[in-house]
Amino acid sequence: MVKSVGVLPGSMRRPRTSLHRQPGRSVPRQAGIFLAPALIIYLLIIVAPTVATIWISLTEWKGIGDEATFVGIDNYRRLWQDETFRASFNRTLTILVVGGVIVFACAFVFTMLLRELRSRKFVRAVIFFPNIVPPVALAIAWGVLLAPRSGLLNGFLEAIGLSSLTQTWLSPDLFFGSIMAGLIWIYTGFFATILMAGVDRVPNYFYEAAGLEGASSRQLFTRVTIPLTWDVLSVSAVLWVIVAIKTFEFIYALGGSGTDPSAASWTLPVHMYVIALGNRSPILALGQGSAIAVIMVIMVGLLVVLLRRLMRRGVVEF
Amino acid sequence: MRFVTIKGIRGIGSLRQILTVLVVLAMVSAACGGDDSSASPTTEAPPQTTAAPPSEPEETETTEAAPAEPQTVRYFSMWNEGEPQQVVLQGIIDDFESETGIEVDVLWGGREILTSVRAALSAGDPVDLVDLDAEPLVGALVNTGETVSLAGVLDMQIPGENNTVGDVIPAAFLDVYAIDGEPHLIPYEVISSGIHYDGSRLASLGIDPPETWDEFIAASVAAGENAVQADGLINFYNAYWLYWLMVRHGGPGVFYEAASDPTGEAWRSEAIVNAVNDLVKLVESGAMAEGYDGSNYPLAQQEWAVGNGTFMVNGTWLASETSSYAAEGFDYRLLSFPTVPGGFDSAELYQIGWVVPRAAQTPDAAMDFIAYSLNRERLAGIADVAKNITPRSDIGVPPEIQDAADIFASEPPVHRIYDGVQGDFPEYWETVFLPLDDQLFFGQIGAQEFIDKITSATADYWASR
Repeated sequence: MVKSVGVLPGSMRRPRTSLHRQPGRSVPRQAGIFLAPALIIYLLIIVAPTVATIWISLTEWKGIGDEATFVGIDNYRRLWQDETFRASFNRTLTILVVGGVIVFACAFVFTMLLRELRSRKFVRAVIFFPNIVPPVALAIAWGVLLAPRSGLLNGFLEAIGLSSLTQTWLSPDLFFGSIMAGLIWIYTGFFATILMAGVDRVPNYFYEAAGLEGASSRQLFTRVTIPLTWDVLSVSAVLWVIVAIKTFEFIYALGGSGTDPSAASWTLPVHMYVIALGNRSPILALGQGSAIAVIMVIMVGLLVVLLRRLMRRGVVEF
Repeated sequence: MRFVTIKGIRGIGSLRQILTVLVVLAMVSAACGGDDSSASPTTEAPPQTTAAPPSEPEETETTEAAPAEPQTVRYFSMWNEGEPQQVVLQGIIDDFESETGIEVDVLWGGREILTSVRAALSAGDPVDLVDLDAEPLVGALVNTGETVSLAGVLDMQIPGENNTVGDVIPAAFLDVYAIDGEPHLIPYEVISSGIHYDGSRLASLGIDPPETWDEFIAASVAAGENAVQADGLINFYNAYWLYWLMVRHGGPGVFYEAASDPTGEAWRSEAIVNAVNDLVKLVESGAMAEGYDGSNYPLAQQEWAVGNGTFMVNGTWLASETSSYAAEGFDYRLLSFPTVPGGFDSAELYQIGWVVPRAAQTPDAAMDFIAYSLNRERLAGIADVAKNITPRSDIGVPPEIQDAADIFASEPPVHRIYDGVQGDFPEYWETVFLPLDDQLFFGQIGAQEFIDKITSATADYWASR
């Protein structure tokens, strides 16, 4: 039944097509011409602003009309000493780690539950739905849902006789938890969809064969699903790192309506935005804002490399 | 069954890794730099190109430079299309264009208009006229020396009447943000704040409008459930309470002085301690609406306007914001912020107005527009349509904002909103004061803890600068 479980000895691997790896051949000159437009655009719109951001992070600058003063690593030092920044940093890490564990746990549960469901495409579309709605609209909806006196959640709890569980969901104590719940709700569908696509790719006969040999559901999951979707999982983990660190709109819109959200709900990108630009009363600390941007890039870079190393496995071909 | 895996080929693995990191860096850069325009000015122009200030236009001679070409005023406005002020200003713009032949190219950019202004200035695009509420506008453009003096506008005759601009705009208003005695901002709308209530509701509760702070707390307690409404997630609304109490106890400047004290010890002054204790009295009185600390704008003001709540501290725009859904017969009244024994009496003056950037290409035309707009009949739309107060005392106001207009009728001493702390120390305001103020206002910390924390946080803030 198993057609090929893929191990090709080195000699049978497909020949590489990469030009520069062929002995005695260098990259043809024409390649440079074809690469140039993309390279120039990339340099202009990605690399140059990134370099400018790094430079600005070493200065004190309020923007146009203000002369930038070189301050070395002062902005970084100041951030390090700033309790508000450390709290923002910790919140970002909490979203990344705690949120990540919950998002992937839920996504796997959905994946396994829906694997054999006949209407799984429909359900998949439903759980993916939060991703096609702008986060700002979602935040407004969550505001209505979690409102203290007339909110739908409290109203529902009261209606089913659980008044004792009603809370001021957006109060300072619970606010970050509400944000986490919102983010988990939004992104579970997204990652479940990616994982499901990976699982769908796995031929059913693996499950059938494993089932015939007496594998339990847990074993099916750990011995079939996980290994055969490892590459998808690895990419998803990288995507989550990026999503978790840069999440901005939902928090900004839920925390502040026409104003900056309270510092008690800031994550790194919100902190960056507020101190760099702010809303009604711009702080214009562009140096510090850029320093936060650089820190975020370094964080993402390190975490991605780390994840790739941790999750490095050979590709299973089937 | 056994699954066999192939180890990744090292060369390709590392190449992939490099590519992955590059792609990720690119995505994050895009996220940091491009998404939501959050850092666009940061990345749009490196400092080398922007450090050189734009050349200052010749204030009085530019109009004669190109008399043949129709002039265009590039106007960046804080209003969104459809807002009452936008409608009024659009009407003025239309008339101005047809009467003068000067074209006004306006961007209705909303409250974050400064982001667009910065982007335009960075790109070298013309910005001839900007309007916004004064504190952020002054902090971002006037205090950084990027605007021209509008002293010349004061002598300009207002088209259609015999007054000059200086005749109709009170000098006290212009002095607030003057630089070297010369105004850089000319207001077309003035705002204050106080405690709003429904007159008929208060009468039906048998409560007299309170005047002192103790009377206010007693009235709030007597008013029953959700007596004092607040959208607690708007931290600068929460800040009204403590800032007003500080100004009442210590006079204008007391908050400013405490915020700018490098040792932080000014926060321990008697006036401020009394103000903090007064706020704690309100928080502990039980008069605050249930769940006010988790109320998201505009929930509380909606509930207040339909009769679930009695008092609400807010700017004088509240009537304008809530009148479309207020309960039938709602009688808009406004209390000046309650007084305290032996305290100070001053009025908060907040202005929305115009500035002309140094980078303006048609500054004279922009100034013509300012003078033109301040005509009594034209400006009356701000009162009649937008239901807000104008700086002209000869423009009547609708009944729902009469109390607010009366605040300025007796020409009281004025102070800046939030005593100028928001405008002059925005980072301190955002990262030091507001978080602690929220904690105090939500009852998470007591008076002494607040004083201790803000004293040390203020000292730390200034020490790191």
